Amino acid sequence: MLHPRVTGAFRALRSYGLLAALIAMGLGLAVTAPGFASVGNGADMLRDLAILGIMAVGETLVIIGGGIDLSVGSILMLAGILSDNLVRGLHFGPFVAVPLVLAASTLVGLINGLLVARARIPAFIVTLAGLYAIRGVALSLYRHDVTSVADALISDPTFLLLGQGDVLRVPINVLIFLLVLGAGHGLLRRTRFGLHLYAVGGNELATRLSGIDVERVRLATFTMSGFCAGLSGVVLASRLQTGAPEAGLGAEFDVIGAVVIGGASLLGGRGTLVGTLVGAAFIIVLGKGQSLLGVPANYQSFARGVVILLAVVLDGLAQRRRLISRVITRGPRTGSVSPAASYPGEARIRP
Amino acid sequence: MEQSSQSFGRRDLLRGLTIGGAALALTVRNESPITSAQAAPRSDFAKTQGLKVGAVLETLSHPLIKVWGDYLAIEGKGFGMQVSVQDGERNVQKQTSQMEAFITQKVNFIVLQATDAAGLSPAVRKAEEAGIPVITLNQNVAQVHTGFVGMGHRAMGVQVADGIAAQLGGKGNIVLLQGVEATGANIERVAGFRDELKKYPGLKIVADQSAAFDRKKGHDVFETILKGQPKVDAVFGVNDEMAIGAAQASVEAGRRAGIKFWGADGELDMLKGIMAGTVDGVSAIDVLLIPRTVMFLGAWLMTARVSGNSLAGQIEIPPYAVTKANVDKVAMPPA
Repeated sequence: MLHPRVTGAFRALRSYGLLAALIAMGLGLAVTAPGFASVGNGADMLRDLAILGIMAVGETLVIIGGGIDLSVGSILMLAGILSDNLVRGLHFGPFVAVPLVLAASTLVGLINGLLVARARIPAFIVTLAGLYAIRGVALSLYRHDVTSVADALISDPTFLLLGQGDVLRVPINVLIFLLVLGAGHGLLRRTRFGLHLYAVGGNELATRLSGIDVERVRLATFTMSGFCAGLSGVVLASRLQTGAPEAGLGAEFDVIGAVVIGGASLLGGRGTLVGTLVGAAFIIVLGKGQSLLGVPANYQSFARGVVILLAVVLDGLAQRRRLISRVITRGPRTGSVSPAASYPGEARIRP
Repeated sequence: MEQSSQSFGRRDLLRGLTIGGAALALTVRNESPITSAQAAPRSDFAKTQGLKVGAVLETLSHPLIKVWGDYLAIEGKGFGMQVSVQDGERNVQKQTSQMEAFITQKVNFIVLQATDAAGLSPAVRKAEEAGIPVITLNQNVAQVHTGFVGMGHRAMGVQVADGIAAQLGGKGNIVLLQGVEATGANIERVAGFRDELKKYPGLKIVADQSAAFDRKKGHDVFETILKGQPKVDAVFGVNDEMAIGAAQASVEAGRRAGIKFWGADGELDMLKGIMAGTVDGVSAIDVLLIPRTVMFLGAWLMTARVSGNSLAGQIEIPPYAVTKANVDKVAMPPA
């Protein structure tokens, strides 16, 4: 129980439990919800998962580092509206427009990061302010030039491939998501940055004392979160053929929900992208299943709340056991850096 | 035959008519075997009984749209159809997901009130390609699809501009409260309004903001505008809800007198407001025509065996202007 590997096993059990719950829910819906177990519905869910998942990858990094990014929905909205303005309004080619939009979103993330890491304002406050401010900018850029329904669509065929195209029957946006997920996973598991990130979230002081530039790590997570949210916004704009202003409203809650259900701790230092993938799938499957069953909107919302609460309660139980173990041993706070325990750099992040 | 009967007497006229009528009857009877051969045997008539209809509405927290949802179900029940009404919560992704669910469930046709004329287009295309006809209800989409039933939005914008110009004598400051900007209704009403305003050089738009088709937002947005605008002569709320909200804000600010409030739709509260003098005019239609026509069109499409990827028709219901002068003569909606 006291050994990090034991707590690691406990977490693993929890995430397997989540996976089992996801599979059980899927099987249940396949039997009860008409059309759930169809190829078409599978593809729909994968496309939805991609858009939520790309954002959730960035959010997971931020949360592992002990931060939170509430502005992802607004960045998604901004990226969608910018894409719409550039591709539809100004007829930019996608090879010019998409990099521009991604650069703008990354810049927004960078500003978030600077305010958190350099100006030392709490992440919750910075990104809450960002949520409103970025939404305001996005809405002020929103199309005012459309005078008939017929010319409201983004129609550049190359741009539309991002959200609607397939390669060998696999949706392109799903491939993009897998790419981002793979890159994020590699970053967390195979690089020194990943190691530092868990350390920063787990025990900031100890990490600082061991000579790691905590601010730089934090700054990087918010910047990457901005990039991910922007990429998600571009893909969504391509899927919807427009930059929809309300598409980002409340998206941050689904994203944070996915990360939390996936086992990351809002206290930082804990979380995996595999968990986030399962958490995001949980939210998508639950929503789609309820939609197919014809569950009224308010009950859908209620059920989503219950699921998130259950996940957090489980998380709380796991945390408490960890805390108790700490109190008993009066040891240093090493439990939270345990995901890195098997890495050679482990010794360096211990105080 | 008419000419020849004039030269004969009345009796001849009668005789002629009788013979003509008999001949006509014979012709019809002679033709009747052909018509019945063309028509399918009775047992093979397409039926509306038991058909499944998916309805995706903009939101259910708008009084008029709530009524439309209820009447879609009522009218559908009359045809023996099962109508499932979904609350789109003014969200493109939500509506897209609801459309996809209906496509997966293979409903017979879909009724869509799109919250975004562009954003719902891919979902509409998907439904039509899957052989499910889509009828858009009052909010059109850019994608070509089977049917649209709604108000003549552009005409509404024109009518409001003319109505305001008449009440102000062609001179004054106008505040434009836009709805959800991406909706077909907003795009077309605003375009019609702006076009028509060009005829009145004395009328100027001094403020133009969105209040998302919402009464509370209309109130809040106009409250703020009033603080910055010393002289406002008229307000066009692109739907009634916003106009009603804005009028309330003007009462609270003590500036109701001297401002004309116009809306578009024709919901009950607006017409009552015109009677009571709290608002000044509306471009309206008989709102119940919309769910009725939608369900009739659906029933017709189904019995005509129309199955997606076709353009059956666009029905734009022409609006009429209502002011205090004629409000007692128009149809009162249930909400």
